[in-house]
Amino acid sequence: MGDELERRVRNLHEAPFDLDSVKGTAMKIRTKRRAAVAGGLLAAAAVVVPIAVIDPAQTPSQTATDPVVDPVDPEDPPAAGPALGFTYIEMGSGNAVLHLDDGSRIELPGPDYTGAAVLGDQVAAFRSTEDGQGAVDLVEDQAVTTTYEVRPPVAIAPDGRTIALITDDDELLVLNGEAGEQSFGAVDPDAVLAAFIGNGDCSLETGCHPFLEYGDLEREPFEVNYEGPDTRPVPGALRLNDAADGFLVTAQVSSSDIGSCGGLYDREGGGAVVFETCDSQVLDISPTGDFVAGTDPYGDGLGPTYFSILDRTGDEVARYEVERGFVYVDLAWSDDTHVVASVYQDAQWRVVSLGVDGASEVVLGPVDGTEMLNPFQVTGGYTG
Amino acid sequence: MPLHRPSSETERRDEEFTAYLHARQPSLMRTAYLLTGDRHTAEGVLQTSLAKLYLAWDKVRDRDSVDAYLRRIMVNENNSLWRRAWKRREHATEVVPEWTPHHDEYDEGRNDALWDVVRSLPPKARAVVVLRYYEELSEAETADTLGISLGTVKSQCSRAIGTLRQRVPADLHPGRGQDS
Repeated sequence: MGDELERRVRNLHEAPFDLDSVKGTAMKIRTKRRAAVAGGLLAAAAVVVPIAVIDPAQTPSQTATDPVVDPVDPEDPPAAGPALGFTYIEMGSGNAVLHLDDGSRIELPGPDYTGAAVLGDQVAAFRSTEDGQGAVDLVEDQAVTTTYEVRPPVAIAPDGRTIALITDDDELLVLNGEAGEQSFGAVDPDAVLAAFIGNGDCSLETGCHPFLEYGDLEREPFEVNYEGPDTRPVPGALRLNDAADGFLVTAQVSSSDIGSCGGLYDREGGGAVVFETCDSQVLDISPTGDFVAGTDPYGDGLGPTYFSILDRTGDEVARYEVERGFVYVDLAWSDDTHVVASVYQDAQWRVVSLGVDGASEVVLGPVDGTEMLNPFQVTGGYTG
Repeated sequence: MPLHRPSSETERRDEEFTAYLHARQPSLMRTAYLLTGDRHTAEGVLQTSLAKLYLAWDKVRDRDSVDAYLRRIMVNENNSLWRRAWKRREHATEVVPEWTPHHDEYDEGRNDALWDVVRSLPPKARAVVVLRYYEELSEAETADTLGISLGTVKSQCSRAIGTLRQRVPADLHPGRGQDS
């Protein structure tokens, strides 16, 4: 067969592109990335906002109104700080600060960022915009180089190295430090991102798996995968809460005035439901897939009053109760057996770690604050 | 990384890239043609892939791996084009080529028949066939380039050969078993 293919192209000797034409196309690619934002090109060119790596040896600010620590000289390499095992964004009166799971910190170029992924030399940081939509800023060398106007939410891979977004003209993009910008083309204008797994290289079979759902909960969530066609990752699901390597997916399958039901679904293992429960809302999957985080299936008030850990039978093995407060439901696994969540209790914010053995500890805070401003936005978990 | 690269560094990069273009472009064009199935799409895939390679040139530190890096970009670009075409339910049409494929005197239409089958394969399967049989990559190299398992490469090759045998008339089978 090789000979047949070789014969097919034996007479093709052309080299149609010279350096100038390649550089011209490269410039267009860069321009297109910037032009993905309506009006963003001028803003990106005009606004040069510094970011800086901050000395991780300094402790997090102890009150929500403390100023963020001063940036150090960006020429200095960041020292390794205490590794908490999860990524969070510290918000206060100054610019937001991204704390990576290895303890290093990056000051972001504004106060309103609530999610971020590290793309090699760049950081892709998400912020809400005044029109109710959102924007993802690419920050490199102390400058916003590109801004994507997006339909929120965005989805960040479990390892924090890839971000998936849907632009305001409905193009599904995956951004990764190694693979760059990759397009899945246009998606349904009503679909939004729910989760993303993979290493971010969409040329790989296991590289890019964005999961999408519909805000109206009237149509089934779907996945866009390497094969191109959409598939149904969890039959009958209304909403997807998380996906993990190995293609475990947590989903909500029904909702009513008195609660919701959901479960853990193993897409690779013959498409089997691992468990379903109406006793918990099933959320983030642990790195090994042996546990899932859960919370109150009945949503009310500012947030649920507990978060928990379920095993693969759906039984609750650990729970953290909040008295006089609530859980901010942005959870992350800091290792194979510990889940972290920020909680508001007695007018203070803190991040609590809960183990499968039931033991809990405060790993960040407490800091004084109002219930409307969580200074610890947990954005991602264990990266191995 | 500085925002404005020193001109000497830019010159060095351009010289290196130009040398790479001169040395490799015809071969890359042939691979792009086999991956895409038509000349027009092949040029588009190659041009975009080369541009992305240029943007990433300084990051590809191992110059021996540039071809592999570019192959992966081309496969990704082709899949991306295919996805967009699939979404729009459109299909690329063959542009009349400005060159004539080579035909052996005693070919008896076998090459055209095989080519029709190869072009009809899904992009992933076609990429496996092109990398394995035209680029003569090993199964492991093919798996690494495409980011799929060795078993997937084996099964895709087996399936592609089976498809070819089914669709190509028996008297035109290439080598009668040499590919199995």
